[in-house]
Parts: sequence; structure tokens; C-alpha cells
Amino acid sequence: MQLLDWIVVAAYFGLIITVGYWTGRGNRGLEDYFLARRSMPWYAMGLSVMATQASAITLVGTTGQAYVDGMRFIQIYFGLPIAMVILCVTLVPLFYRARVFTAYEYLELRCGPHTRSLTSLLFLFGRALSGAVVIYAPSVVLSVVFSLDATLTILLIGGFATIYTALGGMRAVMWVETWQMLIILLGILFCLGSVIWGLPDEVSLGEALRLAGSTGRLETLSFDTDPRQTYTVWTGLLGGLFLMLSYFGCDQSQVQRYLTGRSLRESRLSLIFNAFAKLPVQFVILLTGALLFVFYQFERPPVLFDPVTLAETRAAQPEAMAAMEARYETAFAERRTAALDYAEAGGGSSEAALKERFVAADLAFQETRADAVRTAAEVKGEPWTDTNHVFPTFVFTQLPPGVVGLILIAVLAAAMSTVESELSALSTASVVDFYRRFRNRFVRGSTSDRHDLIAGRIGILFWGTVATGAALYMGRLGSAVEAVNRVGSFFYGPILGAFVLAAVFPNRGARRAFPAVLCGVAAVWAADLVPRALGIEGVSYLYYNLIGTAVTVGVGLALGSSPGIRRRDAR
Amino acid sequence: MEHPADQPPSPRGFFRSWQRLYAAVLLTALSVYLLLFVFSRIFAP
Repeated sequence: MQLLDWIVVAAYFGLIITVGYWTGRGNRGLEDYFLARRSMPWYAMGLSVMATQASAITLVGTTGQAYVDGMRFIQIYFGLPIAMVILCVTLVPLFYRARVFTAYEYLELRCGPHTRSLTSLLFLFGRALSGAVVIYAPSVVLSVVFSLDATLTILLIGGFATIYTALGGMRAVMWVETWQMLIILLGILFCLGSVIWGLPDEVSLGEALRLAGSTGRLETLSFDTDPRQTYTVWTGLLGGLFLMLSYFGCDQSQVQRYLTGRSLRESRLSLIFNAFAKLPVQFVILLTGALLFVFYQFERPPVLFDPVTLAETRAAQPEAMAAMEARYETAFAERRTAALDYAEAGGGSSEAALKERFVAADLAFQETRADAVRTAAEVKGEPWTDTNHVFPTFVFTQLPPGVVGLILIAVLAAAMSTVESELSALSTASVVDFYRRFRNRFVRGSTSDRHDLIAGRIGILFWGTVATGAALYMGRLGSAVEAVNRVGSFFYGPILGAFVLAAVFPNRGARRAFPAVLCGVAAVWAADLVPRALGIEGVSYLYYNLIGTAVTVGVGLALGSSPGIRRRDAR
Repeated sequence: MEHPADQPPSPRGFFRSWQRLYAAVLLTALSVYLLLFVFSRIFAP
């Protein structure tokens, strides 16, 4: 990190403080504080929705994944445009007309207060510690690669996001996120440009794509019908559709974005914007990773992309690592020559043979690297990969000062935008779905705007402290936090099921949504646990939302159709 | 009833109704899937 990079970082923090302060003034009540006075235009909501979904891992991990595994990851977004259209037609107008603060508030109108409490509680439980993960994961990578102290990075991301979210409220968060997403998009374009710029003069973009393609890195589609596979067209279209419907339709951190629209039209357009933009943005991020793979055909990559782990592994197993690195050096030189020969062949008669030679050389190189990763995992005593370090290593070692700062702030912006959204959503659900309801029940007289505002701020400070605190201790709490996060993802499908019952079957299944949601959660849990217990591979996790939704709707309808229950409801 | 402000602003242009806009989204998505298919076939045969 050089002076120019630090200036860029300081300018970024200056920008978000200014935007946050300027746009966050004058909050008078909860509608101001949590819903930005319902005054936002579609482009700000659209960019904010995108920024909320884009965590730092999207930028760092996805490029790394394309480097290691190729671009097939894009298929999980195939259901997104369809989900957006379905939401624009169904839930968005319902939420908008009901003038609700939280998605779960709408459920009370159709399914009763218990279902509202249950779904909001499931959201709070599922999301409570994911804030810790979205702070911790990028902090660790940034601290290693940019030689920053991990505690400082966690405090910087968590503390800063908490403070200005609490002070500025939703309006400040939305406008800050708009700027953050623009910075992220600029960062992505700079990355792609930098990787292409870094290719040797004798390798054109077309030749680079041919090289990446010959190792399967550009295979974007798989028509495999096996439901256990995650990255296939069918899993993406069906499982991905239900994931996106659940995430954008029932997760308060997303619903709250488009509830801030100045009209239903603006709210719908913000989702339509994402329907158009998400796949191309994801394509560019993955293409950057795939081209990074080509870049490292000609520039020797480190044997392990994480310098700290590399040093630890060298210290623990000096002889084995020395031998491995010598093999790695030879394998890289052979692959480089093979790659140049294949790139220069350009469709000649020897192309097939040169391609075969390059693919074999790459395989040998990857095997050597896999040996090094295995050795590092043995030294660490736990499963380990360096996928998340590929992209930051490129940025830190190859890009000029200033651009490094720009990419760093793009990663920081991606991390902070997700944290801000989660904090404001957690606070909204806690205050609106629980605190205000129960206070109004037990204390006479309604609360003042000032009281609500203070409660909202305390909510954000509370959840921010929980997330940042858990992130600080995540090294020790790691597996527990991950387990909570994993279980949290089981709730999405059943919550979507409750919304389907409420919106589509208001007179039949909606009143039975409470037990139906519990059955849905149990079904998803079983879909995850039973195959593990039996030692077999279960269906892809992308289908969990479909299973949860289907079971919840099925049980809700079955209970709602029961004559005994219908008679009781009629009374 | 939808508030008048929630209707598209004017009946000009292609996107005269939400239905057309939704159709455009789905057709664009289909085109992107096809483009990705072509991209895969060209560079990763």
C-alpha cells in the first residue's frame, strides 16, 4: 500500500461520511429512519439492492472460484430475472399497498400475529450472525494481503458501518450504498481491464479466451440433470429461482430496500434493473477470474496465494516444500511454453496437438499446486484452500498505486454495503415486529416518534455490536457461527411458503401458516441431515428453498382444507 | 386499485405496459442464456 492508495481509501471514507451526513439529516420517525420517508428513486434502490447482495466475497471469492474452477458458477443466477418478474407481479404490490415496514408485518394481515412473530424470529435468528461472517471473511483476506491488522480491519468495517447506519438511517444507507455500488462496478471494470492489460503482447484477447476455454474455464452451461449438482442450468433455473424468490421476496434486508420507493412503479423498476444487470455483472466478475487464470500462465503465481500460510507451511515442512516448489517451477515453465505455442498456433494444423500438450501441462501444474494446498491443510490441521487469496494477490502484486486503493475500496464497499443492510433490517424487524408491538400491548398510550427513533438507533447499535463482536471472536467461534449461518439458510424456503399461502390462498391455507412453516423447516432440515447421516450425497442446497416452500404450502393447504379446522375457523 | 402514479408515465415507446416490460426482461434473460451457450461452444468446445 502506497501513499496514493491511502489517499484513495481516505477519499472513500470522506465520501461516505459526507453522503451519509448530508442525506441522513432530519429523521423524525420510524418511516423516516427505516424507510427513507418512502422517497427513493428506482436507480438508487436498484443499485442498493445490488450492493446488498454483493458482499466482499462476491468480488474476491467469485474471481478466485473462476480462476480455480471456471465460470459455471454463473448458472445459480439463472432464476434471478424470472424471480424478479414474479415478485414485481405478486409480492411487491402487496407490500406496497399494505404500507408495511417489514415483510413479516404483511403476514399478520393474512396469517395472524403468530406467523408474523415466527417468520420474523426465524429471520432474526438466521441473519443474526451472518453479519459476523460478512465482516470477518473479507477482513481476514484484506488483513493478510494488505498487511493490515485483522482486529483493526474488523473494527473498521463493522464499527464504521454500525455508526453511520445508526446515525443516518435508511436514507443515508441507501444513498451511501448507491455510491458504494458505483465504486464496486468501477472496481470490477478496472480489474477486468487490468487483467487484459497484463497479458503478454503476443497473446490477444481471443487467444486468451481460447487458452482459458481449452481447460474448461469458460464452460458456463451444464445440462446435467442430476439434482445433486449445484452448477447446472436446471438447478440454476429451478433451485436458483426459489432461492432468489426467497431472498428478494422474504428477506427483510432486501425487501426493506424496495419498500423505500416513492411509488410502486419505482420499486418495481428497481427490481427490473437488477433483472437486467445482475447476470452481465456476474459474467464480468467471473470472466475476470478466468482471464486471471490466463494471466498466470505467463506470470509465475506463488505456489500458495496466501503468504502467511505459505510461510507457515515452509517453516513446518521445509524439505517437502522445497522439493514441491522445485517441481512447481519446472511445471510452470513447461506450461508457459505450451501455452505460448498453443496461443500462437492460431488454428493451424498442429493446433489440436498443441492444445493437448497445453492441457496436459496445465494438469501437471495443477497437481503440483494441489499437493502444496494439501500440505498447507495438513500443517493447519483443517480443510483449507487459497481461493479467496487469488484475486487480492493479483491486485497487490501486479497493479499500480492508486488502482490498488480503488480495488481495496471496492472490496470495502462491498463488505460494508452488506453489513449496513443487515443491520438496518435486523433493527427494523426487532423494533417493528417485536418491541413496538409488545410495548403497545403492555404500556398505555402510543410511543412518540422520538421514542421510536431512539429504539431504532439502539437496535442498530445492538446488532452492530453483536456482529462486530462475533466477528472479532470468530477465530474461536468459527464453527459455531458457521453452523448458525447454515441453519439460518434453512428458513428461507418455509418463509417463502408462508408468503405463498398468504398471497395466493388467503382463505384456505393462510391461517394454518404457523404449523406449516414449522413443517417446512423440519423438511429442509431432514433434506440436509438424512443424506449426511446415511453417508450419501443429498440434493444440491439450491433445492432446499424449493423443498421448504413446497412442504409449507402443501401442509398449509392440507390443514386449511381439513373440515374440522375449517369449522373452528368459521366460529 | 393502483394509484395513478404507479402506472407507467405515458403510453409512448415500446414499454407501454408492465406486461411488455416483463416480457422484455424474460426475452433478454433468454437471449443471455443463448449467448452464454454460444460463448461456451465457441471457447470451450
